[in-house]
Amino acid sequence: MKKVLILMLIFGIFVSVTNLDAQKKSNKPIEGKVVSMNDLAIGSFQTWTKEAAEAEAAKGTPFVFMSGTGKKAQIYFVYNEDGTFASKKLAKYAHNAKVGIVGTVKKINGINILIMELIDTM
Amino acid sequence: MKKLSLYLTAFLFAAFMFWACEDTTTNPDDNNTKPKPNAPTQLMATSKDSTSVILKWTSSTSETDALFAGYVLKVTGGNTMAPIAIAKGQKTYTVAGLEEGIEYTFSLQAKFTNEELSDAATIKWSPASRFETNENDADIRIYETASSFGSGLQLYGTNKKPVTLKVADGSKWTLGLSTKTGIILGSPKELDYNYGSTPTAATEIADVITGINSLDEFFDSQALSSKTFASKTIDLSKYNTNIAFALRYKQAGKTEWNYAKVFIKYVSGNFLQGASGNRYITLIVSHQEKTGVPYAITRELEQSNNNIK
Repeated sequence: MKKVLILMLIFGIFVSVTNLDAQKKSNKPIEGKVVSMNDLAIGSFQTWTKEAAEAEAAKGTPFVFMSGTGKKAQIYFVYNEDGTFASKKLAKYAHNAKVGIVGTVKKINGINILIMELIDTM
Repeated sequence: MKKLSLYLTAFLFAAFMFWACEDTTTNPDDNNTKPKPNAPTQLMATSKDSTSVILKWTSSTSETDALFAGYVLKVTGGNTMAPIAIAKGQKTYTVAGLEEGIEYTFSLQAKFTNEELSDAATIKWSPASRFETNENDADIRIYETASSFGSGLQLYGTNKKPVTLKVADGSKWTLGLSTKTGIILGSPKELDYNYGSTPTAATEIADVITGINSLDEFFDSQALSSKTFASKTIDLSKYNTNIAFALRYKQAGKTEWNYAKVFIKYVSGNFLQGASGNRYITLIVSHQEKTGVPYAITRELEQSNNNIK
């Protein structure tokens, strides 16, 4: 019984460390697409031009990052390293079919927060 | 005796007419002895952006002369421009209001206060677009081989700006980076990648320039087409400073080259920046949009060093 408890303890520590690592910076970019919150709400994603997306962001429409599609899609609210919301920066990438972001992911109250270190077209 | 006086009268009349005619047709300028300045020398040019060209020259040796008034720059080739007065002591000048792809002739003359002008130093050049950011308004980057991001660059993409591309889009690369052994930048066809589609554009690179801090310092006195280009690679690890080079590329099916200059930043002792796995080099590009325009066609410098009369 003692052995089982020790093994469970070790397993528990391993799982915790693994989860912590998942929240740390990864060299591998998260791949996905920049979408507007409005498109997300109606479930129909338009094809943006850079100029149109920038204009929309300037009007106050938030842009977020979507990884995956359908029910498996993950939505990330992306922040710059200085703590500012990166919506306007994301909008500049909305015309790209595929974008990669390297950074740190935090899950707060079920919401994915991505602290962006690097973003580029893929 | 009568005959003699007739001959004498005729001779005197002819002599008078000859003297009178000669006097009225004398051009004072034919015997101009006004001092004239020496011409500026080593006139060179580079494109600042799509509407501006920077000129640089060696001062006229007459600048020390009390009569020296300054320089006069004449620009021909596009819309008519009034001559530009440039002050004594100035060694560079940025000509604005030009149009990319048009070859302009810049003629620079020294001027004395007596209005006398030197011979002209002349050069032909064209403005070219300067790209410090890519199509996403971010730094222009090419990533290391191991990165998930692109290791190639298309200098002029469909959005009329540089685009970083992955190996799968190798057919569009103008330049590529391989970090398998060293930091190798060069013509895509010379790099050891298994492209999804073979690069269709031919890229040729000229000699590397070092010791400059921006493309504004990359002057030429001859057309870029006069440089020696070759399909080749550059091992960046051999350099410990910013580098720049001219390149030309030709799209498949085209007969003429597009010309560009590329500046690679050397930052904090390295070309590769960023975290391991996604390290990148940063570039600045000067790109001539118009195919077949090698920025410049240089005329021989028309200069005179000993023309003070």
